[in-house]
Amino acid sequence: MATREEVKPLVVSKIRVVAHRSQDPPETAKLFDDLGMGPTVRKAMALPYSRIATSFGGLPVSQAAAGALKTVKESIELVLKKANARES
Amino acid sequence: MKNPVGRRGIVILLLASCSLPVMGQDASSWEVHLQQSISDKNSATKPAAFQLTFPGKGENSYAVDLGLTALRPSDFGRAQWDWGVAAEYHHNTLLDRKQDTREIGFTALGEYGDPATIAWLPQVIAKYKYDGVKSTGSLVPSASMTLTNFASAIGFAKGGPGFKFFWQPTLGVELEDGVKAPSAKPTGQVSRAFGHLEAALYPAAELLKNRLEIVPGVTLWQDFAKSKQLGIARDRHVLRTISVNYYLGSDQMFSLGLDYVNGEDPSQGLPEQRYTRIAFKVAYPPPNG
Repeated sequence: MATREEVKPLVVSKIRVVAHRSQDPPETAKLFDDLGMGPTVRKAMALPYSRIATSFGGLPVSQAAAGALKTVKESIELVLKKANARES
Repeated sequence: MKNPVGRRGIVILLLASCSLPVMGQDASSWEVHLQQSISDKNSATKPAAFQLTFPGKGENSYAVDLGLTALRPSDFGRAQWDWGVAAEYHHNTLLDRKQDTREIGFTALGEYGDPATIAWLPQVIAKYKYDGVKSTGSLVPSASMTLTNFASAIGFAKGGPGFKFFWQPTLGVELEDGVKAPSAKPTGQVSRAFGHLEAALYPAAELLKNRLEIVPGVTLWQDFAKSKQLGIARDRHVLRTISVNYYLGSDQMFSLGLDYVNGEDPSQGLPEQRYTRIAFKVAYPPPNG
């Protein structure tokens, strides 16, 4: 079972690299207002998020779900949820 | 071409929209979403829309634009495809903009690459389209591609505190194969290439906290092959739009907007038209809030 402590650094690190920031953004950072990630970029985060989630044996993250995310915190929570989800 | 603006004045419009993940994500890897169109080409989100128009003169009217998808993401290692079924419905009762289009089919949204450098997002759609205004039915397979790239500001907001912007290009091809038409009217095929370009501009970005958004867009369709019996005179079709939105709260759920539409959309059966509208918009979830 994936824990938040395991998932958070992976998600935050990926967001930092994609947004071309020198430091990890805080959980409160907004993906568009603070990090400049438009709707298509947020959808494109589905693939790296899926890689994180499936590395814990979880399910992939859809583009629609990734595109609807607004903050770094929401991104961590979604990937954590998918990392612990199993095919029913 | 009729100009509803000149004849009726600017209409007062109430526009409510939503893009809802209808089904819980824990129960299944299938996800159901409601949006304005299953075509995923736009950078700005296109939630489902319900519009009521109350012109000063003439009859009231309504318009509905809905796209419903049930998609399942599948991981292929270096790529991911979200695939499933989709249905779309566009209806407008206004006399000079009449539209009644129903579509159902399959769609697949792909993703390759890395959004840190360049990510490619292809979309494949195969659908049956029924046009209730013309009483025609057609099979419409299509394929399109968009991308994100930080250096080029494609999908990424660039600029400073005084002005921010990003843009989103999409290219694609579609075939419309008419299989049903009223008696004495011909059926046939039209093949089109299309390009869509959209930008999002945020003047005084820091001062207004990105609340003022200007979104100009243009879509160009070029017919490159078509059956002669269809008698389609023009090879080129253009749709130009400009939306100016001012978000009323930091969550960007409510906004006041001015929309300008000029042109036609052969993919959705939207006839040539030109109008301006003022709208109060409600979007859930908010596009960037």
